[in-house]
Amino acid sequence: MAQVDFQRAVAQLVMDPEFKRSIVTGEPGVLGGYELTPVEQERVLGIAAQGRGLEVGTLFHRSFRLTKIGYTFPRVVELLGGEALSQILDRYWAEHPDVHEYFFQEARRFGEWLLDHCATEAPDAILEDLAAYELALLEVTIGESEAERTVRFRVEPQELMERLTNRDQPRLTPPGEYWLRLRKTGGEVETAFVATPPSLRK
Amino acid sequence: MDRLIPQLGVGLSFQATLAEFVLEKPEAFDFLEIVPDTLWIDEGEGVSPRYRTTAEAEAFLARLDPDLPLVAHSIGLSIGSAHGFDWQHVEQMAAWHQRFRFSWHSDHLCFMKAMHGSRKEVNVGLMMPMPCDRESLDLLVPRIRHVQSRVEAPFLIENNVNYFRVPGEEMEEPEFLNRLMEESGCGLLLDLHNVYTNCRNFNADPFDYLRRINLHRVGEIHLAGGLEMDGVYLDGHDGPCPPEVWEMLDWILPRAHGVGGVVYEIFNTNYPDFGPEALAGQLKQAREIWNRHRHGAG
Repeated sequence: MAQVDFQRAVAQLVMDPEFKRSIVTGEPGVLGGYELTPVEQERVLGIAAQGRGLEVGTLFHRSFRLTKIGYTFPRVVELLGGEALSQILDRYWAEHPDVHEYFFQEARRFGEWLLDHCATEAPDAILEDLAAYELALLEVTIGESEAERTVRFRVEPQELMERLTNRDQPRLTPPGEYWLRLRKTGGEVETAFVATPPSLRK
Repeated sequence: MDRLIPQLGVGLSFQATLAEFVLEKPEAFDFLEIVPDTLWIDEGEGVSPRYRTTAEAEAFLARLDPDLPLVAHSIGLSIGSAHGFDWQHVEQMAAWHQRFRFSWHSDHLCFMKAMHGSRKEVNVGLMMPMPCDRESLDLLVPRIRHVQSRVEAPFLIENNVNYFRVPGEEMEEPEFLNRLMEESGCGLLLDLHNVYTNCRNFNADPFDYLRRINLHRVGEIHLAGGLEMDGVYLDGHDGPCPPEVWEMLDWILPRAHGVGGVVYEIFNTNYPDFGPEALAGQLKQAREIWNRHRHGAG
């Protein structure tokens, strides 16, 4: 058990700067939940004291998590930008501190979380539509041949993408309704407007 | 190591952005090192089938020259995780070896997965150092033996890059690696840039490190570039090898006769800026050193 808890503590040191700060400042009981031998306890304290090296570890950890999201949701990342993105990620990571090691599952989980976040806490039509689009693109890309999804946009999607590419703020007005179908054909994902709103497929 | 490594020459570590280079410049390298974990989708434990090769990977692999030797360098085993061992990952490697007949395969001496709370597992995304002590050897040796029993190709373990140290270790890393190789029968994937990075950040002499390694068990060498950031040198895989790493390669090749290949690594996201000419230049430099010490091999 001690070896397991030692690794658990070291992992926590890398992932959570607050935990490290608590150890460095000698906060009582901070290691109380860890079953450590005296040698392991000394090692944890010694690692916590290595400020810069541990910070690099934290940086890599956050990059590791961000990479999965940035790779799969580049337009969402572009739309949110610095501070808003940071706030969203802090919130998401606080609710899901366990990193899904599996790339697509982590991306999928973030996409579903963001959709729920938009639907229940912070309505944002453009963000919600973009998240749904990029999540659908992920599902079709990794799906079997002929995989297909249809997504809704409340702003004209081509103009939206162009604005994001040019780093212009997209505008919601006048709101409309546009449907895009994503279909995997011969290994490529084809995108096409569809006129009649079809039933959404999960 | 217990199994013989073929002498392949200079290899390239494959990343998706390198696909065009790999297919259009086959003369630039002698073999290809693939990272299997990036070519399959792992749906996670409990899902069946757990592993699925991506369509893009299948298409790329199908275009490779069938005579091009392949080696596998996995990043997902987390062989040092104390809370559990991923037996399915080993079986997946065994299945891929049956399909691709790797000349050898390797993974990292580290733990990436740990417990988070009492039930959940977390992947830190960082190759965390194993304490160099008897307890780590007792954890690692039977696992390495299991890998070797299931995958019928030589297995190499890679020395880690560490940004922090584990205090109070029972032995230093070269001694630990020597014992690990001796007791388990595996070989060493000696990442010279990892050695350089660790020594640079912790004020040690990389040649002193190399002199203390049992060089007879080195089966492969990794080369890469890095960068300095706020006083810490990073194993960034972002560009050309530092001159010191080339010197280390030149020093080690005539002394480590079992080395089967020297592999240059650059990360996916860094290659577009680096470009094909610079990449070809690194491979050429590696091949010149290889040929100088292998008298025409490769």
